[in-house]
Amino acid sequence: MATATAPATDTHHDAHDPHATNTGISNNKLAMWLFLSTECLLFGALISTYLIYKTRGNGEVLPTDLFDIPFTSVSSFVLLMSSLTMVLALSAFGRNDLDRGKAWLLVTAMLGAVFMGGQAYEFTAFYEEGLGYTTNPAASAFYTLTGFHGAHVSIGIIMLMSLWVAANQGKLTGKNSETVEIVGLYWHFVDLVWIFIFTVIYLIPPE
Amino acid sequence: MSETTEVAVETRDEAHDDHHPSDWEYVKVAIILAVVTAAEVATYFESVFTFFETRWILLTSLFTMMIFKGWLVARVFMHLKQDKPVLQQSFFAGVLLATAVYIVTLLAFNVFG
Repeated sequence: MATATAPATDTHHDAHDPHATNTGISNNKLAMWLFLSTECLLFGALISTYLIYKTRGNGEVLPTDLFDIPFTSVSSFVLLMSSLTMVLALSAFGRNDLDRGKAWLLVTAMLGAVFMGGQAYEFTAFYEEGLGYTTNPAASAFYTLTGFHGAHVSIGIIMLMSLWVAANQGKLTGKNSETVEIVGLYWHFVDLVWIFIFTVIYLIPPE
Repeated sequence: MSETTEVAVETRDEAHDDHHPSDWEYVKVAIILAVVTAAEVATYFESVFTFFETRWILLTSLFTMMIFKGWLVARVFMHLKQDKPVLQQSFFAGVLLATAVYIVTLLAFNVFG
């Protein structure tokens, strides 16, 4: 009898819980995963476009002629480590250690800003070497791909700083740490995409 | 019987939710990622590059390291290992679809020679 009553009560309770879902996963988290799934198609298109056009220089300089692998390696390392600080922020919020969580959020945003600074430096150096956005199809494809990734990093930094401000205002605590997790998923995905870009675009040598 | 099933389901759900790695485990994964990245970058330098006798060995090594790093980030940092399987299925559906579509596209444009 008790067993029969308990599920009925739970069902009744779930019906009034705005966060209850059939999957047992919050709608926000599921939506972020589905969004990231679609992002694979976007970045797949941009990477493929670059691979198709990477040798079409019209006699002008190509992006592959200008790559500074040691410099980009440091940028990649910085972004990789920002994934560590992001997950440490989530872990801290999960323990309700708000001070440490806020600190890790700030460090993650700063590492993202360092990565963006590196990209700005790279773009400026390439431009000064004569590689503008419309110089040739290879340049356009390269700037579009890395620029889109940079835009994603910038949006991530804005989201991280918003979380940091919310945490400072007391609106973000261990109880609603799922918000940190969802932003973290986005941030890790941006890192994941860079892992692919770094290998496929930068490290694979031209034939 | 029904009671047993409920307990089993609850236990499985808890296993998905409550076994997040410790901070030290995250640090260990980051160290592994850094080491693999260093190995990837090493292939750029001529002394290491010439070690790979053919281009295909180099490409296979780079792709293996790239996929390993991506898998590690998704599984540990994005918690796919602990989360519900439907999330893993949703995400990898997108990854596989993108991979299939763009490999066909690249083949159509004769990118692989």
